[in-house]
Amino acid sequence: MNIKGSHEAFWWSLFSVGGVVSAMVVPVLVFATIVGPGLGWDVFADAMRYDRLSRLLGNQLVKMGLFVVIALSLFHAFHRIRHLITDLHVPVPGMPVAALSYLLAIVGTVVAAIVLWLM
Amino acid sequence: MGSKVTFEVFRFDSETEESSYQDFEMEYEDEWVILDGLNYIKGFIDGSLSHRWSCRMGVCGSCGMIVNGYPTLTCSTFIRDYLPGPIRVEPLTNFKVERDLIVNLDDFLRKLQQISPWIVRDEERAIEHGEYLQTPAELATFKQFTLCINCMLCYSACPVVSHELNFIGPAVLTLGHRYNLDSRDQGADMRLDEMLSSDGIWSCTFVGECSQVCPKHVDPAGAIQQSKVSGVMAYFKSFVMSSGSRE
Amino acid sequence: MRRPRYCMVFVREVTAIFVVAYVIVLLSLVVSVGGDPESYEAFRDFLASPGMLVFGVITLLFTLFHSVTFISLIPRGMAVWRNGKRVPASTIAGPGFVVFAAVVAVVLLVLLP
Ligand code: SF4
Ligand code: FES
Repeated sequence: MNIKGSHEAFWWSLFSVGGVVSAMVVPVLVFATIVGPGLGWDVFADAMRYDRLSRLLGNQLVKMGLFVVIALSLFHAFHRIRHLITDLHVPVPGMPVAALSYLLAIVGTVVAAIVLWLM
Repeated sequence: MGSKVTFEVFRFDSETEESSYQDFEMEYEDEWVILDGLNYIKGFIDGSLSHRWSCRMGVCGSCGMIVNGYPTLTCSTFIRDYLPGPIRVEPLTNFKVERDLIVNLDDFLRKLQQISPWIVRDEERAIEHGEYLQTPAELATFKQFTLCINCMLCYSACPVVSHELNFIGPAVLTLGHRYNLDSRDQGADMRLDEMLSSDGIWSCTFVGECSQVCPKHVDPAGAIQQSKVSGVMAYFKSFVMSSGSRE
Repeated sequence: MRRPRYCMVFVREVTAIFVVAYVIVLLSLVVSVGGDPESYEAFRDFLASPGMLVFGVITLLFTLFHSVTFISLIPRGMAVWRNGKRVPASTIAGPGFVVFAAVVAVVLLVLLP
Protein backbone atom coordinates (compact mmCIF):
# COMPACT_ATOMS: atom_id res chain seq x y z
CA MET A 1 0.00 0.00 0.00
CA ASN A 2 1.13 3.48 -0.79
CA ILE A 3 0.64 5.66 2.24
CA LYS A 4 0.53 9.01 0.53
CA GLY A 5 3.84 10.55 1.49
CA SER A 6 2.93 11.07 5.10
CA HIS A 7 4.35 9.88 8.34
CA GLU A 8 1.43 11.19 10.34
CA ALA A 9 0.68 7.66 11.48
CA PHE A 10 4.09 7.50 13.13
CA TRP A 11 3.69 10.78 15.00
CA TRP A 12 0.16 9.91 16.00
CA SER A 13 1.24 6.57 17.42
CA LEU A 14 3.84 8.34 19.57
CA PHE A 15 1.19 10.88 20.56
CA SER A 16 -1.24 8.25 21.74
CA VAL A 17 1.25 6.01 23.52
CA GLY A 18 2.74 9.12 25.08
CA GLY A 19 -0.73 10.23 26.05
CA VAL A 20 -1.35 7.05 27.97
CA VAL A 21 2.06 7.07 29.65
CA SER A 22 1.92 10.73 30.66
CA ALA A 23 -1.67 10.36 31.85
CA MET A 24 -0.64 7.60 34.23
CA VAL A 25 2.70 8.90 35.47
CA VAL A 26 2.92 12.70 35.30
CA PRO A 27 0.32 13.70 37.93
CA VAL A 28 1.83 11.50 40.64
CA LEU A 29 5.31 12.81 39.82
CA VAL A 30 4.06 16.40 40.02
CA PHE A 31 2.55 15.62 43.38
CA ALA A 32 5.54 13.79 44.74
CA THR A 33 8.17 16.31 43.62
CA ILE A 34 6.43 19.66 43.97
CA VAL A 35 3.04 19.69 45.67
CA GLY A 36 3.66 17.13 48.41
CA PRO A 37 6.96 18.62 49.67
CA GLY A 38 5.60 22.14 49.08
CA LEU A 39 2.70 21.44 51.42
CA GLY A 40 5.24 20.30 53.98
CA TRP A 41 4.28 16.63 53.97
CA ASP A 42 7.11 14.81 55.68
CA VAL A 43 7.00 11.61 53.63
CA PHE A 44 7.52 13.53 50.44
CA ALA A 45 10.12 15.86 51.91
CA ASP A 46 11.92 12.77 53.16
CA ALA A 47 11.70 11.10 49.76
CA MET A 48 13.37 14.11 48.19
CA ARG A 49 16.52 13.86 50.35
CA TYR A 50 19.74 14.17 48.38
CA ASP A 51 21.15 10.77 49.30
CA ARG A 52 17.90 8.97 48.47
CA LEU A 53 17.44 10.61 45.11
CA SER A 54 21.03 10.19 44.01
CA ARG A 55 20.85 6.51 44.94
CA LEU A 56 17.53 6.17 43.07
CA LEU A 57 18.88 7.92 39.99
CA GLY A 58 21.93 5.69 40.06
CA ASN A 59 19.67 2.79 39.20
CA GLN A 60 19.70 2.05 35.47
CA LEU A 61 16.14 0.78 35.54
CA VAL A 62 14.88 4.02 37.09
CA LYS A 63 16.84 5.99 34.52
CA MET A 64 15.37 4.00 31.65
CA GLY A 65 11.87 4.40 33.03
CA LEU A 66 12.29 8.11 33.50
CA PHE A 67 13.72 8.46 30.01
CA VAL A 68 10.80 6.61 28.41
CA VAL A 69 8.27 8.68 30.35
CA ILE A 70 9.97 11.96 29.46
CA ALA A 71 10.47 11.15 25.77
CA LEU A 72 6.96 9.85 25.20
CA SER A 73 5.40 12.70 27.19
CA LEU A 74 7.27 15.18 25.02
CA PHE A 75 6.12 13.59 21.76
CA HIS A 76 2.60 13.52 23.11
CA ALA A 77 2.67 17.11 24.29
CA PHE A 78 4.28 18.63 21.20
CA HIS A 79 1.79 16.87 18.92
CA ARG A 80 -0.95 18.53 20.95
CA ILE A 81 0.79 21.87 20.90
CA ARG A 82 1.03 21.60 17.14
CA HIS A 83 -2.73 21.17 16.93
CA LEU A 84 -3.28 23.86 19.54
CA ILE A 85 -1.48 26.31 17.27
CA THR A 86 -3.73 25.36 14.34
CA ASP A 87 -6.83 25.57 16.51
CA LEU A 88 -5.89 29.05 17.64
CA HIS A 89 -5.95 30.06 13.96
CA VAL A 90 -2.38 31.29 14.14
CA PRO A 91 -1.77 32.36 10.54
CA VAL A 92 1.20 30.12 9.77
CA PRO A 93 1.28 27.21 7.34
CA GLY A 94 0.80 23.79 8.93
CA MET A 95 4.00 22.17 7.69
CA PRO A 96 6.55 24.31 9.56
CA VAL A 97 4.45 24.18 12.71
CA ALA A 98 4.41 20.39 12.62
CA ALA A 99 8.12 20.16 11.79
CA LEU A 100 9.10 22.58 14.53
CA SER A 101 6.88 20.84 17.10
CA TYR A 102 8.36 17.41 16.48
CA LEU A 103 11.85 18.87 16.27
CA LEU A 104 11.41 20.32 19.76
CA ALA A 105 10.23 16.92 21.01
CA ILE A 106 13.32 15.29 19.51
CA VAL A 107 15.64 17.92 20.99
CA GLY A 108 13.99 17.46 24.38
CA THR A 109 14.46 13.72 24.15
CA VAL A 110 18.14 14.10 23.32
CA VAL A 111 18.59 16.54 26.19
CA ALA A 112 16.90 14.06 28.52
CA ALA A 113 19.30 11.31 27.44
CA ILE A 114 22.29 13.59 28.00
CA VAL A 115 21.05 14.69 31.40
CA LEU A 116 20.30 11.16 32.51
CA TRP A 117 23.43 9.42 31.31
CA LEU A 118 26.15 11.97 30.70
CA MET A 119 25.73 14.33 33.61
CA MET B 1 -53.84 24.99 20.33
CA GLY B 2 -53.52 28.69 20.25
CA SER B 3 -50.04 29.27 21.70
CA LYS B 4 -47.77 31.56 19.75
CA VAL B 5 -44.11 31.32 18.99
CA THR B 6 -41.70 33.44 17.01
CA PHE B 7 -39.13 32.08 14.55
CA GLU B 8 -36.14 34.24 13.72
CA VAL B 9 -35.25 32.92 10.31
CA PHE B 10 -32.04 33.61 8.42
CA ARG B 11 -32.71 34.99 4.96
CA PHE B 12 -30.12 35.22 2.21
CA ASP B 13 -30.52 36.31 -1.35
CA SER B 14 -27.65 35.11 -3.52
CA GLU B 15 -28.35 37.70 -6.21
CA THR B 16 -28.11 40.74 -3.99
CA GLU B 17 -25.81 38.91 -1.53
CA GLU B 18 -27.87 40.41 1.27
CA SER B 19 -28.56 38.56 4.46
CA SER B 20 -30.87 39.32 7.36
CA TYR B 21 -33.03 37.74 10.03
CA GLN B 22 -36.76 37.85 9.60
CA ASP B 23 -39.21 37.32 12.44
CA PHE B 24 -42.28 35.19 11.89
CA GLU B 25 -44.90 34.85 14.56
CA MET B 26 -47.32 31.96 14.30
CA GLU B 27 -49.71 29.79 16.20
CA TYR B 28 -48.36 26.30 16.59
CA GLU B 29 -49.62 23.01 17.88
CA ASP B 30 -48.05 20.96 20.58
CA GLU B 31 -46.90 18.14 18.28
CA TRP B 32 -45.26 20.46 15.76
CA VAL B 33 -41.60 20.04 15.01
CA ILE B 34 -39.38 22.93 13.87
CA LEU B 35 -39.85 21.83 10.26
CA ASP B 36 -43.65 22.13 10.62
CA GLY B 37 -43.12 25.72 11.69
CA LEU B 38 -41.00 26.42 8.60
CA ASN B 39 -43.54 24.75 6.33
CA TYR B 40 -46.26 26.82 7.92
CA ILE B 41 -44.30 29.99 7.23
CA LYS B 42 -43.72 28.97 3.63
CA GLY B 43 -47.33 27.92 3.12
CA PHE B 44 -49.17 30.72 4.89
CA ILE B 45 -46.90 33.66 5.65
CA ASP B 46 -44.09 34.02 3.13
CA GLY B 47 -43.88 31.69 0.14
CA SER B 48 -40.43 32.96 -0.77
CA LEU B 49 -38.77 31.16 2.15
CA SER B 50 -36.51 28.35 0.90
CA HIS B 51 -35.58 25.28 2.88
CA ARG B 52 -34.97 21.60 2.16
CA TRP B 53 -36.93 18.67 3.50
CA SER B 54 -38.44 15.47 2.25
CA CYS B 55 -39.24 12.54 4.49
CA ARG B 56 -40.27 14.33 7.70
CA MET B 57 -39.23 11.25 9.65
CA GLY B 58 -35.49 11.51 10.18
CA VAL B 59 -34.49 9.31 7.27
CA CYS B 60 -33.60 11.44 4.27
CA GLY B 61 -31.19 13.78 6.04
CA SER B 62 -32.15 16.89 4.11
CA CYS B 63 -33.64 19.06 6.86
CA GLY B 64 -30.55 19.74 8.97
CA MET B 65 -30.26 23.36 10.15
CA ILE B 66 -28.87 25.37 13.00
CA VAL B 67 -31.54 25.85 15.65
CA ASN B 68 -30.64 28.22 18.44
CA GLY B 69 -27.01 27.80 17.54
CA TYR B 70 -26.97 24.01 17.52
CA PRO B 71 -26.92 21.66 14.49
CA THR B 72 -30.32 20.01 14.53
CA LEU B 73 -32.50 17.74 12.44
CA THR B 74 -35.55 19.99 12.19
CA CYS B 75 -38.07 17.24 11.47
CA SER B 76 -37.10 15.41 14.65
CA THR B 77 -37.11 18.31 17.09
CA PHE B 78 -40.24 19.69 18.72
CA ILE B 79 -41.04 23.37 18.97
CA ARG B 80 -42.23 22.78 22.53
CA ASP B 81 -38.67 21.96 23.57
CA TYR B 82 -37.53 25.48 22.67
CA LEU B 83 -40.19 27.51 24.45
CA PRO B 84 -40.81 30.29 25.06
CA GLY B 85 -38.64 31.24 22.09
CA PRO B 86 -37.91 33.10 19.94
CA ILE B 87 -36.38 30.23 18.01
CA ARG B 88 -33.53 31.15 15.74
CA VAL B 89 -33.24 29.05 12.58
CA GLU B 90 -30.15 29.32 10.37
CA PRO B 91 -28.56 27.31 7.58
CA LEU B 92 -25.86 24.75 8.49
CA THR B 93 -22.57 26.40 9.35
CA ASN B 94 -19.35 25.42 7.54
CA PHE B 95 -21.22 25.34 4.22
CA LYS B 96 -21.74 27.96 1.57
CA VAL B 97 -25.29 29.29 1.69
CA GLU B 98 -27.22 29.14 -1.58
CA ARG B 99 -30.38 30.80 -0.42
CA ASP B 100 -32.09 31.27 2.96
CA LEU B 101 -31.74 27.92 4.74
CA ILE B 102 -30.33 26.00 1.79
CA VAL B 103 -26.61 25.19 1.66
CA ASN B 104 -24.39 24.10 -1.20
CA LEU B 105 -23.69 20.36 -1.23
CA ASP B 106 -21.06 20.19 -3.98
CA ASP B 107 -18.05 19.87 -1.67
CA PHE B 108 -19.71 17.24 0.43
CA LEU B 109 -20.70 15.19 -2.61
CA ARG B 110 -17.18 15.44 -4.01
CA LYS B 111 -15.76 14.16 -0.72
CA LEU B 112 -18.30 11.35 -0.73
CA GLN B 113 -17.09 10.23 -4.17
CA GLN B 114 -13.49 10.50 -3.06
CA ILE B 115 -13.87 7.70 -0.52
CA SER B 116 -15.52 5.12 -2.84
CA PRO B 117 -18.43 4.38 -0.52
CA TRP B 118 -19.44 1.14 -2.13
CA ILE B 119 -18.25 -2.44 -2.09
CA VAL B 120 -15.04 -2.67 -4.07
CA ARG B 121 -13.95 -6.08 -5.36
CA ASP B 122 -10.70 -7.09 -7.02
CA GLU B 123 -12.83 -9.21 -9.24
CA GLU B 124 -16.60 -9.07 -9.35
CA ARG B 125 -18.29 -12.34 -8.72
CA ALA B 126 -20.52 -13.50 -11.58
CA ILE B 127 -24.23 -13.09 -10.93
CA GLU B 128 -24.89 -16.82 -11.13
CA HIS B 129 -22.59 -17.40 -8.17
CA GLY B 130 -25.09 -15.59 -6.00
CA GLU B 131 -24.75 -12.91 -3.37
CA TYR B 132 -21.82 -12.31 -1.03
CA LEU B 133 -22.63 -13.97 2.24
CA GLN B 134 -21.95 -12.39 5.60
CA THR B 135 -22.48 -13.62 9.14
CA PRO B 136 -24.41 -11.53 11.68
CA ALA B 137 -21.16 -11.06 13.61
CA GLU B 138 -19.45 -9.68 10.51
CA LEU B 139 -22.36 -7.34 9.94
CA ALA B 140 -22.29 -6.19 13.55
CA THR B 141 -18.75 -4.82 13.19
CA PHE B 142 -19.94 -1.98 10.96
CA LYS B 143 -23.73 -1.87 11.32
CA GLN B 144 -23.70 1.26 13.47
CA PHE B 145 -21.81 3.15 10.76
CA THR B 146 -24.41 2.31 8.10
CA LEU B 147 -27.07 4.30 9.95
CA CYS B 148 -25.77 7.63 8.66
CA ILE B 149 -28.36 9.64 6.74
CA ASN B 150 -25.93 12.21 5.32
CA CYS B 151 -27.58 15.06 7.17
CA MET B 152 -24.20 16.80 7.51
CA LEU B 153 -24.90 18.01 11.03
CA CYS B 154 -21.51 16.62 11.96
CA TYR B 155 -19.80 18.83 9.35
CA SER B 156 -21.53 21.82 10.79
CA ALA B 157 -20.42 20.88 14.30
CA CYS B 158 -16.79 20.13 13.45
CA PRO B 159 -14.19 22.82 14.23
CA VAL B 160 -11.67 21.10 11.94
CA VAL B 161 -14.06 21.35 8.97
CA SER B 162 -14.38 25.05 9.72
CA HIS B 163 -10.68 25.74 9.32
CA GLU B 164 -9.62 23.06 6.83
CA LEU B 165 -11.79 23.31 3.76
CA ASN B 166 -10.58 20.07 2.24
CA PHE B 167 -10.84 17.96 5.38
CA ILE B 168 -12.84 14.93 4.23
CA GLY B 169 -14.88 15.22 7.39
CA PRO B 170 -16.72 13.03 9.90
CA ALA B 171 -19.54 11.36 7.95
CA VAL B 172 -17.46 10.50 4.88
CA LEU B 173 -14.48 9.20 6.87
CA THR B 174 -16.91 7.11 8.87
CA LEU B 175 -18.37 5.72 5.69
CA GLY B 176 -14.88 4.84 4.51
CA HIS B 177 -14.27 3.02 7.76
CA ARG B 178 -17.61 1.28 7.39
CA TYR B 179 -16.62 -0.21 4.00
CA ASN B 180 -13.14 -1.05 5.24
CA LEU B 181 -14.74 -3.13 7.97
CA ASP B 182 -17.14 -4.86 5.61
CA SER B 183 -16.11 -8.49 5.10
CA ARG B 184 -17.34 -8.37 1.50
CA ASP B 185 -15.12 -5.45 0.59
CA GLN B 186 -11.58 -5.54 -0.83
CA GLY B 187 -11.00 -1.83 -1.36
CA ALA B 188 -9.50 -0.88 1.99
CA ASP B 189 -6.03 -0.13 0.59
CA MET B 190 -7.43 2.24 -1.97
CA ARG B 191 -9.70 3.93 0.54
CA LEU B 192 -6.93 4.23 3.13
CA ASP B 193 -4.87 6.17 0.59
CA GLU B 194 -7.50 8.89 0.82
CA MET B 195 -8.27 8.49 4.48
CA LEU B 196 -4.60 8.67 5.52
CA SER B 197 -3.82 11.57 3.21
CA SER B 198 -3.32 15.11 4.47
CA ASP B 199 -7.06 15.75 4.06
CA GLY B 200 -7.94 12.65 6.03
CA ILE B 201 -8.18 11.32 9.54
CA TRP B 202 -4.99 12.86 10.95
CA SER B 203 -6.52 16.31 10.92
CA CYS B 204 -9.11 15.16 13.44
CA THR B 205 -8.27 16.11 17.01
CA PHE B 206 -11.08 14.05 18.54
CA VAL B 207 -13.18 16.99 19.59
CA GLY B 208 -16.16 14.67 19.54
CA GLU B 209 -18.79 17.29 18.74
CA CYS B 210 -19.78 15.31 15.61
CA SER B 211 -20.87 12.36 17.71
CA GLN B 212 -22.71 14.73 20.01
CA VAL B 213 -24.92 16.23 17.29
CA CYS B 214 -25.44 13.06 15.25
CA PRO B 215 -29.16 12.22 15.28
CA LYS B 216 -28.46 8.57 14.41
CA HIS B 217 -25.80 7.84 17.06
CA VAL B 218 -23.33 6.88 14.37
CA ASP B 219 -20.37 8.07 16.50
CA PRO B 220 -18.20 9.43 13.68
CA ALA B 221 -15.55 10.51 16.19
CA GLY B 222 -15.17 6.93 17.38
CA ALA B 223 -15.02 5.65 13.81
CA ILE B 224 -12.27 8.10 12.90
CA GLN B 225 -10.37 7.19 16.04
CA GLN B 226 -10.61 3.52 15.10
CA SER B 227 -9.38 4.35 11.59
CA LYS B 228 -6.36 6.04 13.12
CA VAL B 229 -5.51 2.83 14.93
CA SER B 230 -5.89 0.87 11.67
CA GLY B 231 -3.81 3.55 9.94
CA VAL B 232 -0.99 3.08 12.43
CA MET B 233 -1.06 -0.68 11.90
CA ALA B 234 -1.03 -0.24 8.12
CA TYR B 235 1.86 2.20 8.44
CA PHE B 236 4.07 -0.14 10.45
CA LYS B 237 3.02 -3.11 8.38
CA SER B 238 4.13 -1.32 5.22
CA PHE B 239 7.69 -1.26 6.59
CA VAL B 240 7.66 -4.93 7.47
CA MET B 241 6.34 -5.71 4.01
CA SER B 242 8.86 -3.59 2.11
CA SER B 243 11.83 -4.82 4.14
CA GLY B 244 10.56 -8.35 3.57
CA SER B 245 10.38 -7.91 -0.18
CA ARG B 246 13.97 -6.73 -0.37
CA GLU B 247 15.30 -10.03 0.86
CA MET C 1 -15.53 29.31 21.73
CA ARG C 2 -19.02 28.73 20.51
CA ARG C 3 -19.73 25.52 22.37
CA PRO C 4 -18.70 24.10 25.74
CA ARG C 5 -17.05 21.11 24.12
CA TYR C 6 -14.76 23.32 22.04
CA CYS C 7 -13.68 24.90 25.29
CA MET C 8 -13.11 21.50 26.86
CA VAL C 9 -10.92 20.44 23.93
CA PHE C 10 -9.00 23.68 24.21
CA VAL C 11 -8.26 22.96 27.87
CA ARG C 12 -7.29 19.41 26.89
CA GLU C 13 -4.75 20.79 24.43
CA VAL C 14 -3.45 23.32 26.93
CA THR C 15 -2.60 20.48 29.33
CA ALA C 16 0.27 19.71 26.94
CA ILE C 17 1.96 22.99 27.86
CA PHE C 18 1.96 21.93 31.49
CA VAL C 19 3.36 18.53 30.62
CA VAL C 20 6.27 20.22 28.84
CA ALA C 21 6.75 22.66 31.71
CA TYR C 22 6.89 19.82 34.20
CA VAL C 23 9.35 17.85 32.08
CA ILE C 24 11.65 20.87 32.25
CA VAL C 25 11.33 20.98 36.05
CA LEU C 26 11.93 17.24 36.26
CA LEU C 27 15.08 17.41 34.13
CA SER C 28 16.38 20.33 36.21
CA LEU C 29 15.80 18.20 39.28
CA VAL C 30 17.82 15.36 37.78
CA VAL C 31 20.61 17.79 36.86
CA SER C 32 20.75 19.23 40.37
CA VAL C 33 20.80 15.77 41.96
CA GLY C 34 23.83 15.12 39.76
CA GLY C 35 25.57 18.14 41.32
CA ASP C 36 26.81 18.69 44.87
CA PRO C 37 24.45 18.49 47.87
CA GLU C 38 24.52 22.26 48.55
CA SER C 39 23.28 23.25 45.12
CA TYR C 40 20.68 20.50 45.33
CA GLU C 41 19.40 21.92 48.62
CA ALA C 42 19.11 25.32 46.97
CA PHE C 43 17.08 23.77 44.16
CA ARG C 44 14.91 22.02 46.70
CA ASP C 45 14.19 25.29 48.46
CA PHE C 46 13.26 26.77 45.11
CA LEU C 47 10.89 23.86 44.46
CA ALA C 48 9.27 24.39 47.86
CA SER C 49 8.79 28.14 47.32
CA PRO C 50 5.21 29.43 47.26
CA GLY C 51 5.44 30.33 43.58
CA MET C 52 6.47 26.80 42.64
CA LEU C 53 3.76 25.38 44.89
CA VAL C 54 1.17 27.38 42.96
CA PHE C 55 2.72 26.19 39.70
CA GLY C 56 2.67 22.62 41.03
CA VAL C 57 -0.98 22.76 42.02
CA ILE C 58 -2.04 24.21 38.66
CA THR C 59 0.11 21.67 36.80
CA LEU C 60 -1.37 18.89 38.88
CA LEU C 61 -4.91 19.98 38.01
CA PHE C 62 -4.17 20.24 34.31
CA THR C 63 -2.32 16.95 34.11
CA LEU C 64 -5.06 15.22 36.07
CA PHE C 65 -7.57 16.64 33.60
CA HIS C 66 -5.41 15.13 30.86
CA SER C 67 -5.36 11.77 32.66
CA VAL C 68 -9.11 11.60 33.12
CA THR C 69 -10.00 12.73 29.61
CA PHE C 70 -7.34 10.62 27.91
CA ILE C 71 -8.00 7.41 29.77
CA SER C 72 -11.75 7.68 29.35
CA LEU C 73 -11.41 8.32 25.61
CA ILE C 74 -9.16 5.32 24.89
CA PRO C 75 -12.06 2.84 24.45
CA ARG C 76 -13.72 5.01 21.80
CA GLY C 77 -10.84 4.20 19.50
CA MET C 78 -11.02 0.48 20.03
CA ALA C 79 -13.81 -1.80 18.99
CA VAL C 80 -13.75 -4.83 21.25
CA TRP C 81 -16.21 -7.54 20.36
CA ARG C 82 -17.52 -10.28 22.53
CA ASN C 83 -20.21 -12.72 21.42
CA GLY C 84 -21.13 -10.54 18.47
CA LYS C 85 -21.69 -7.48 20.68
CA ARG C 86 -19.46 -4.47 21.10
CA VAL C 87 -18.14 -4.21 24.62
CA PRO C 88 -19.35 -0.81 25.90
CA ALA C 89 -16.75 1.93 26.26
CA SER C 90 -17.42 2.24 29.98
CA THR C 91 -16.49 -1.41 30.50
CA ILE C 92 -13.10 -0.81 28.93
CA ALA C 93 -12.49 2.56 30.61
CA GLY C 94 -12.89 0.92 34.03
CA PRO C 95 -9.75 -1.23 33.77
CA GLY C 96 -7.95 1.82 32.33
CA PHE C 97 -8.45 3.63 35.62
CA VAL C 98 -7.48 0.53 37.59
CA VAL C 99 -4.17 0.46 35.69
CA PHE C 100 -3.82 4.19 36.38
CA ALA C 101 -4.21 3.57 40.11
CA ALA C 102 -1.74 0.69 39.96
CA VAL C 103 0.86 2.80 38.15
CA VAL C 104 0.46 5.58 40.72
CA ALA C 105 0.94 3.03 43.49
CA VAL C 106 4.10 1.63 41.89
CA VAL C 107 5.60 5.08 41.39
CA LEU C 108 4.92 5.98 45.02
CA LEU C 109 6.35 2.67 46.16
CA VAL C 110 9.60 3.32 44.31
CA LEU C 111 9.78 6.95 45.32
CA LEU C 112 8.74 6.98 48.95
CA PRO C 113 10.99 5.73 51.74
S1 SF4 D 1 -22.67 10.83 10.82
FE1 SF4 D 1 -24.56 11.45 11.87
S2 SF4 D 1 -24.46 13.70 11.84
FE2 SF4 D 1 -22.99 13.01 10.33
S3 SF4 D 1 -24.12 13.00 8.39
FE3 SF4 D 1 -24.30 10.92 9.26
S4 SF4 D 1 -26.20 10.93 10.43
FE4 SF4 D 1 -25.67 13.08 10.03
S1 FES E 1 -37.03 15.68 6.44
FE1 FES E 1 -35.97 13.81 6.08
S2 FES E 1 -34.60 13.79 7.77
FE2 FES E 1 -35.80 15.52 8.21
